[in-house]
Amino acid sequence: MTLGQWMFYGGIVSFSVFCIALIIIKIVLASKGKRLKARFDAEYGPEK
Amino acid sequence: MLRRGDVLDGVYQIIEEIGAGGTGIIYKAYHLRLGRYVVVKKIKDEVAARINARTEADILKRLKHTYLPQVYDFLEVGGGIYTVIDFIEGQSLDYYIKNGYRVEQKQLLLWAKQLCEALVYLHAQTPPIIHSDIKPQNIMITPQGNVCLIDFNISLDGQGSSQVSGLSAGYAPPEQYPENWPPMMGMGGTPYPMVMPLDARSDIYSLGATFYHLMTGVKPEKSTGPVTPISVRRPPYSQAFVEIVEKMMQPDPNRRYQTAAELLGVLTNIRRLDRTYIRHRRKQHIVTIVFSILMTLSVLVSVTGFLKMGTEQEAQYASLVEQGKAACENGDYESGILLYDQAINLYSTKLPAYYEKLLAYVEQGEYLACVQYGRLIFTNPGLTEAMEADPVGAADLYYMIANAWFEQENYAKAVGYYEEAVLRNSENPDYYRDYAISLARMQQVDEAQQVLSTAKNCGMDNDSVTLVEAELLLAEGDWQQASERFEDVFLTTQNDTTRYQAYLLCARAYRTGGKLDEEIEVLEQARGAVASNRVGAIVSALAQAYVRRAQSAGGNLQADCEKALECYETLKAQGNGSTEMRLNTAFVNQLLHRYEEAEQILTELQAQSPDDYRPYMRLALLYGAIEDEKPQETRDYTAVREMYEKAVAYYEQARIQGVSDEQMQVLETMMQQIIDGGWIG
Repeated sequence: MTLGQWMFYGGIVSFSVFCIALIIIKIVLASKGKRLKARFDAEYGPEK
Repeated sequence: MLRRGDVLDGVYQIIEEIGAGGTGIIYKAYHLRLGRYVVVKKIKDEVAARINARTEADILKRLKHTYLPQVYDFLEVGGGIYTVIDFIEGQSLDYYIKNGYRVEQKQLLLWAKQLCEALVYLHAQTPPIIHSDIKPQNIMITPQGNVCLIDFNISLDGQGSSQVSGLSAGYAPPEQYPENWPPMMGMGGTPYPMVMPLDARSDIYSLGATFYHLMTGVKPEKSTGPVTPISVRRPPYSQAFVEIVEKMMQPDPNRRYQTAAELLGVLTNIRRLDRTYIRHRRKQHIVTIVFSILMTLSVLVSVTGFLKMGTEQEAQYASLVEQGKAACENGDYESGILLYDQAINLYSTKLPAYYEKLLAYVEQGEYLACVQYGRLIFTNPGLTEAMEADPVGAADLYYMIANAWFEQENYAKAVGYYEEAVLRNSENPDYYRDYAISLARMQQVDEAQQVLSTAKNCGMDNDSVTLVEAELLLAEGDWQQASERFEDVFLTTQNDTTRYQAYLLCARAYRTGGKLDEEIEVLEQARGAVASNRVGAIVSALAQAYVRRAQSAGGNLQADCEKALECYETLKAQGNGSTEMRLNTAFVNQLLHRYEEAEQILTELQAQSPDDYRPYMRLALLYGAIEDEKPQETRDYTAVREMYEKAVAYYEQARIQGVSDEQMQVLETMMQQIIDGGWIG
């Protein structure tokens, strides 16, 4: 494996890993956001 | 002053006084015609003195809003001015405060938004209506749980701006107190005017103060002095709501919300001020930004890697080609060709590796393989574009194939390829030189002369010109003068390739003149004079010269064949195991009657190259020679026929590619004789 190949395939793999990590974190944050929304709806009333 | 039972304007019967606002006294009354309760408000005399009753009546009657009471009538009775408005069922906010109710934040927010909507409506009127006396007593809560903002009046000055006169301590903003007005307004001992122009921000302060009271249960201090911030009182409501009320109650109007609409927007989106929400959003942003950066970096690294791979691949390609050349220079053509193949696998559309591979075939005498590979190159559609893009590289390929045909003495084919090379690159004198020599050998002297003059015009060196001219002399039959010219060149030239060619051409000139000893002498001399990478070709030519002399009348079969075998051993030791060389070795062994060695070599070759007609052809000739030496009664030409049939089958395939072999004619003749002699059916 040459340096260029390491960079090329490493870039693809790390991009994929970051992509998956971002999706997972987004899902976690979205579920947290839903809980937050429910809490706010109780606290401030439903959003218009 | 009205009393219980008084009837106003013959319609409104006073029930009771229910309060006194900043701008007048309020009565509950009964509408005698409609049979319903209304509120009658008597405007204070000092305010009434300044208003245009008719205009005010028109404005108030026009107001229609969910959270404002409807104004029914406007009366001038006995010098007093009265407004008649909806009687709102329910309790004022003041009632809830006094009874210690703790209102839920959700409910509070709803009321705040409803009041804001009412204020937005009032402030949007032309001219704007400033309530100026918002306080818990002036906010009714209907049985449905909605608010109703009551007790508002307006008074118009000549400029059309609104002025108010209501003032409730604790709820009124600092700018509403005369002691806070700018000094110029009371200069020279003149009394302060009764009212001061206010704006929407004053109502916002009052609304904030009202909610301050509701949320803390403590009425805010009079705003002429310092007011304890609501956050200090730690009301049991969210930080966001507390911060909004705090901003509404800023002493400086410029630091409050500037319009009711702005405040309504903030209240509607109050959750965006919540710290948990802010933290959550910040987390989302950080994650998005960090991962965007990381993913962008990944893409950049990947793209950089891709570009780097391209340059690395090019460097690797160049390196493989260089390694291949080095291997070939050391006589290791097998490794060289493997390296060229690796380079071709890297870049199948680059021409240099193809050229070097063809050159390797030519240098090791694998002319047939060279021609066959060349055919593959020219019929490869993937290379057509590359050859169009690189005509010089393509010309080199044609030149190399032409050389392979030239070495096989198929000059007609060679001329065709030289023409293609010249067509693509008309500036390489080597092409013209070999092109002219090929034409000369085809006895096309005039055409050769023409090519020679073109070559001179494109800068062909004198040595090459001499070579062509000598070749033309040879074509005309003057081998002596031709050999002298060739000799001049190889003795004087500084160019390795030219020297090598001059030796070969000189040897050929002697051969043409039947001087086989001189031919061998020149080639033996060449062996020590040419560049190391050319020695193999010279030794190969020398071996063939010995074989020719061995077969000639004046030759010594045994000694010359041994010399030829020595040459082939030398080539083998140098790593040259070409098919051509091994076929020749087998033939020399056959001449020496070493049939077993010859058969072994040919059988190995046949196993290695089962599609090559030459091992079959040689085996057929060998078996024929063996049978010819046997007594007639024991001869069996079955093996000869078997080899002959295979040789013919594969030769037909080679002929399609333009191959022509005199030895096949010899075999045909031999087979015909065998058949004619009745040796086989």
